[in-house]
Amino acid sequence: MPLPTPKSRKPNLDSVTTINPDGSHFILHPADVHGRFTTWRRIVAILLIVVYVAMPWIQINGAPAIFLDVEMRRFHIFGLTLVPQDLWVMFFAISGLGFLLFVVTAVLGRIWCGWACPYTVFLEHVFRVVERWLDGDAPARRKLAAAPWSPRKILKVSIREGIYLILAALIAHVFLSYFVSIPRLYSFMQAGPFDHLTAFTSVFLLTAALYFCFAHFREQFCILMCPYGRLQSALTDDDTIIIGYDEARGEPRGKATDLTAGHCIDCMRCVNVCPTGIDIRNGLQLECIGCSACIDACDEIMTKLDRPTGLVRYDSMRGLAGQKRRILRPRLYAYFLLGLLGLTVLSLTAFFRAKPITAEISRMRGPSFFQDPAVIRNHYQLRVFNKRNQPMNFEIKLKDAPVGYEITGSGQTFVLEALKEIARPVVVVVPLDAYTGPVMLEIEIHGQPGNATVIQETKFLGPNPNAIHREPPTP
Amino acid sequence: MKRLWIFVSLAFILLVTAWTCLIVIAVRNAPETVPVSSSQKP
Ligand code: SF4
Ligand code: SF4
Repeated sequence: MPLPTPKSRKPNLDSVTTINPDGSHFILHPADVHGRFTTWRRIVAILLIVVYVAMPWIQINGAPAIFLDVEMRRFHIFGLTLVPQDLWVMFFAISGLGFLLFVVTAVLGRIWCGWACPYTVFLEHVFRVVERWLDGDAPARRKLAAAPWSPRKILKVSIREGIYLILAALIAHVFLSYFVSIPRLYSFMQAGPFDHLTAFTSVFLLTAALYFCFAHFREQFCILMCPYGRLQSALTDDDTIIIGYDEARGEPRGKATDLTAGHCIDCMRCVNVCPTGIDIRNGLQLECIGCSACIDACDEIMTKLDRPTGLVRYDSMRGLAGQKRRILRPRLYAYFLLGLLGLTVLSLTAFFRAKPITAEISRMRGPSFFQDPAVIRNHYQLRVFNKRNQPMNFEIKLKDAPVGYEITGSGQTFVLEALKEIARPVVVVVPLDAYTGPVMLEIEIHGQPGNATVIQETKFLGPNPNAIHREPPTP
Repeated sequence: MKRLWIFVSLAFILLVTAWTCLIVIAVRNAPETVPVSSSQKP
């Protein structure tokens, strides 16, 4: 028999508040909270939303600031264009950023979850704001949820869910604009859904997933599904700055008038504002996303009672236990150096390797050389890829080659359209009398505008020189 | 250019070693698994 869904749940350490005993979702209605952290979080969130939306619009080096062009297999990241051949660089990028995030987490705990994660940003600062605006404060929302279905309730819920759907669709389009350029996205939007079925299906599925998560699943995603939340929890230690309750100061709980009691008056404000439904006074828990709502809530109570704020505060476990705080510790140095190493390699390779062009020389299939009565020829294949958004003029020449070696044919200069790749033959010749044996040649591929140069080394092969220069036997 | 490649290769080896060490440490220190009892009463 299914268990009855409780009207309220008391947070405890043995179960997840937002999951009912029968496994169903217990819908939370967190109370409103005001305070310095709430204000700063709102400012940061608005800035982040502007950044998320603006990235695909800002042009750097002729491409959007971040544009992961999956269709053309080109990845534009802040002016750097990477093609699949450059993707090894991503190992260093991910290692560098990963280890630096380790540093941030080891110092400041789940600051990412509470302040910067797009999921929290959209949930707390867009969807919950709309909900508060339409349905009122927490008691009003609870009342609406418990009320029997009536035309008024149906209308209210339909309007709210309709706005959620529109917002989910907007976020899905912003997400897609990281993968499809803005003009193309606009043309997709004007065409019928079946003209661009893949893009339409992606946006449709993403809208559905976002709607489900932001409108109904909410904190469950952070508690049950997010791998990064788990990883961050594993990276914290007793010296990490987390959000905690000062037990020594707060306990034993009692009335405000009881002078023998601690500072906590058991008003439950910190619990009522928590978006994951936990009681921070039970200690640090996996559900805590570090949103700092409970700090503002408790500070508000302490201010009213004329007691010092900070009963719930940002502090380390050691600090909360009254011990000496320690920010810098060996693991931080190790993470920092590894992060720096990854980012250094990334910057160096970005500077030296990830040029606006890629060019590769390879030997043509077939014989390694051709010998005519007067010359020796080597045939190569040159592959050039213009990664820029504008046509480029290319020139191919030999760099510091020994006397007599030259590139023949008409293809030494050519124009390559934007984002196009070509393969063309390159023939190097040397007169027989100048040939002294196999040599290394440097072929320079120079592209304009942008002054991009790629130098490829290749070996010029030929017959044994002694065999050529030997005098023909006299009859 | 050659020096750059030596540096990149060394950095690669070091980072792969660091990731491997971290994964091994994480696996060795995994929290105890709590068996889910099917007879557990809610
Ligand atoms: S315990 Fe406090 S910081 Fe943690 S999620 Fe709840 S309100 Fe936010
Ligand atoms: S808000 Fe502060 S005083 Fe109220 S229950 Fe929480 S810790 Fe205690």
